[in-house]
Amino acid sequence: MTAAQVRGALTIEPRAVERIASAAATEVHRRGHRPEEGAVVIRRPRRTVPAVLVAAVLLAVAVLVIWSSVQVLLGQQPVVPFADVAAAPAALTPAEPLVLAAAALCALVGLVLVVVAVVPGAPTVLALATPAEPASRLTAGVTRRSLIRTLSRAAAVDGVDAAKVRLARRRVVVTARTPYRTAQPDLTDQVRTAVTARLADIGLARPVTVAVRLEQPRRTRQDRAAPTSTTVVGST
Amino acid sequence: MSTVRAPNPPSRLNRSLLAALGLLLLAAGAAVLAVGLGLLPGVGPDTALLPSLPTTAGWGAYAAAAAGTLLGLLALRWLLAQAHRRPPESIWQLDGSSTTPGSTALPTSAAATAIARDVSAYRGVDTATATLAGARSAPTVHLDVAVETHASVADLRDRITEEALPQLRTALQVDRLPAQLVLRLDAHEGTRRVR
Repeated sequence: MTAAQVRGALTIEPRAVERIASAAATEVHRRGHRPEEGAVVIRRPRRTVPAVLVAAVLLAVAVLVIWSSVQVLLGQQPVVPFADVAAAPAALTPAEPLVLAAAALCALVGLVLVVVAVVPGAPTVLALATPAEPASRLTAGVTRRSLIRTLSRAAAVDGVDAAKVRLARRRVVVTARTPYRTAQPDLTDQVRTAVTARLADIGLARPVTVAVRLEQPRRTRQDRAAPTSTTVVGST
Repeated sequence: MSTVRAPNPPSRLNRSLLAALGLLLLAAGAAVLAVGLGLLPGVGPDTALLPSLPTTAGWGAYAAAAAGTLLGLLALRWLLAQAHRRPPESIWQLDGSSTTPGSTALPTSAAATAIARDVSAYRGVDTATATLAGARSAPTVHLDVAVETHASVADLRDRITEEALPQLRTALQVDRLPAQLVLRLDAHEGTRRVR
C-alpha cells in the first residue's frame, strides 16, 4: 500500500493520515531495499592502497617539479631538465616504438585504475538478518574478517587441529585438518554442525550452505609415517 | 532515504579520484596509440606529439613552481584523507521547551561517545565506538562493536535496541533514530582451543 493509497482510502483527521502515510512509506521503503531480507548494512573495501600509491606518485612528481623550478629560478642546472622535457614532444612522433610502448603502458595503467575504482570488491561487512519486529530499527552487519575467524574457531571441534574457512557468496567452505589417520567417520558432520550452529547464532541475511573438507594424513601405507597430508574426504 | 551503508570514508573520495585519473591516463594513452598506429584518419602517425613550444620566458619557472605546489598540496590532502575514517562530527542546536528555556549546542560526538560507553559496558562487548551522522532532522547512528568470543549476537542486538537506542533518542530529543551496527566477532585473541 503506498502513501497515496492510504491517504485516499482514509478520511480521518489530517494528522493521523499523515502519521499512517509516513508509516506506510517507511514500510514500503524498508521492503524496497531488502534484496534478501532485512535492511542491509554493507561496507566495501576503501581502496586505500591504490589511493596511497597514486597519491604518493603525484606527490613525488610535484616535489620534482617544485625542486626543478626553484633551481631554474636560482640559475642552477635543474634535476629535471625543463627545456629538454618541453622539446621532447615536438621531436617525437606517435609512430616511434618507444612512444607507442609508453602510450600502451599509460593506457594500461589508466585501465587498471578505472577497474580498481569501479569494481566494488568483496564486501568487508556482511549483512545480518533484521529481526521480524519492525519496532527495532537496528540494522546490523558483521565484518567479513571476524566472521571467518569465528567460524574457523567454531570448526575446531575435538579431533580437528586447525580449520580454514573460505567465504563465497552463498557458500562457506571449511577445510578442517585432523592429525588422525583414522578420524571418526562423523567428524565431517561434527564440524558442519558446529559451524552451522555458529552461523545460526550470528544470523546472516543471506543464507549460506556449509561445505566441509577434511584433510588427514594418508591412510594407506601406514608404516610410512610421512607427515604429508592429503584430502581424503570430499566436500559435501 | 538512501541505501543503508555503513559510513566508510574515504572510500568515495578514493573511488572518484582513482576513476578520474584512470580515465585521463586511459584517454591519453589510447589517443597516442590510435594516432601512432594510424587508426585516426586525418592525423598522420608522423606528426609531432605536440607542436613545439615557444621557449618559455622567465615566468615559466614560476608557473611550474605554482602548479607543482598546487599538485603537491592536493596529493598531500588525499594522502591525509586516508587517516580520517569517520564522518565529521557536527553540532546540533537543541531548543529548550517552555519550562526550560534556552538552547543547547550539542556536538554529535558527545552523544556518540555516551552511547558507545553504554554499549561497551554490556556483557560480552569488548570495545564499542559510535558515530552520529546526518542532520538534526534525519540522524542516523552507526555503532562499531567488537564482541568477545561466544557472546550471543542476538542478545546484544536486543539490548542495544531496547536500552541504548531509546536512551539516545531521549537524550537527542528525536523520535526516529535509525541505527546501523557493525559487529566484529571473536575480538579476543588468545583463547584458542587447545586439543
